[in-house]
Amino acid sequence: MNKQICEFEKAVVKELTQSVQNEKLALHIKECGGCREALKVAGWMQNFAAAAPKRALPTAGFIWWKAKLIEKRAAGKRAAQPIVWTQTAAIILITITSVWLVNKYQSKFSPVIENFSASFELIAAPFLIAFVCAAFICLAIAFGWRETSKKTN
Amino acid sequence: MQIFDRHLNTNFPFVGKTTVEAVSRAMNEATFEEIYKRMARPLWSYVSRIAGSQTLADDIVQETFLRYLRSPLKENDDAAIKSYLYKIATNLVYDHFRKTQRENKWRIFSTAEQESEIVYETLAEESDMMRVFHNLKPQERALLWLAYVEGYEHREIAAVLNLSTVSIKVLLFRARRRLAQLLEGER
Repeated sequence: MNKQICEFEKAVVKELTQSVQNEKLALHIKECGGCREALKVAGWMQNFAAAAPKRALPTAGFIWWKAKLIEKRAAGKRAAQPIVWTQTAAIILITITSVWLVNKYQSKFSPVIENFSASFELIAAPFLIAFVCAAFICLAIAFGWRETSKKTN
Repeated sequence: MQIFDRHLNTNFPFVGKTTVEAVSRAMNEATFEEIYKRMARPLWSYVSRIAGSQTLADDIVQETFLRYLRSPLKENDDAAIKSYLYKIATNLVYDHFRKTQRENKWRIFSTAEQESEIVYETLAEESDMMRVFHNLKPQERALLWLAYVEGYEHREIAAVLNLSTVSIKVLLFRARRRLAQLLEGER
């Protein structure tokens, strides 16, 4: 038997698929183990393909509609993107401004903070405010994102 | 909008990329329907045979056409479109197998049903032929199908399976030999 694919193999397989009788080829098949094997496998494969179950597939219209729907959703998300970026930028700006203001007018706040808690260190106040702002930002972003997702879906 | 971006860029430079109308103009529904009618059934047979699951084939064929719509070929040549669709589908099948393997690797408490899902489906619905075929590797199944059912040339198979034309000759020979041995063993 041939160790590699025989040069006649293609013609042999074609013979099988087109049911063409060719004496020269028939003679070759008798002599060539590789071609016999190819013929056998090709025959088996074609029987196997013919036995494939018939199953109802979705219509082309459905696939088309689904593709458009996916695109509309993606377009909606892309359209909402600048809004989310603007929201984020605004909230970051507010936070930075708040921290800066707190630092600048710390002396005015300090008596209030001292009254609020004796053990509360003044240096922690800006960080606390920043933390509260950050939490607020996260909530706002999450809420905004959820709302835009709802609209696009 | 990414659908038909390539067409939009070339054919409709002044049309807004994000309009659904532009999508319809790039490829109309009727054209797609024609392609789908011609290609869907053979593609489904191919995927169901190499993946070994009809349910999986349904999903993969659908995803294949969705991806085709997202970035269709410029050529309207049937052979090119077919080859393109087969390539997408084959990659999706491979991705599925890779994902399943990864999940099974990390799954500590996997049930027997989960592991033998594909085998169960194929055994229940079909004959010894399917069982024999599934003793081959996915790549071998794809090779044999493309060569002996679709009648593809080596270079066409290479394009679909992302392999070199030279290696197809050897791989196909090995796959054929293996199937022949399995068929001998069945007797």
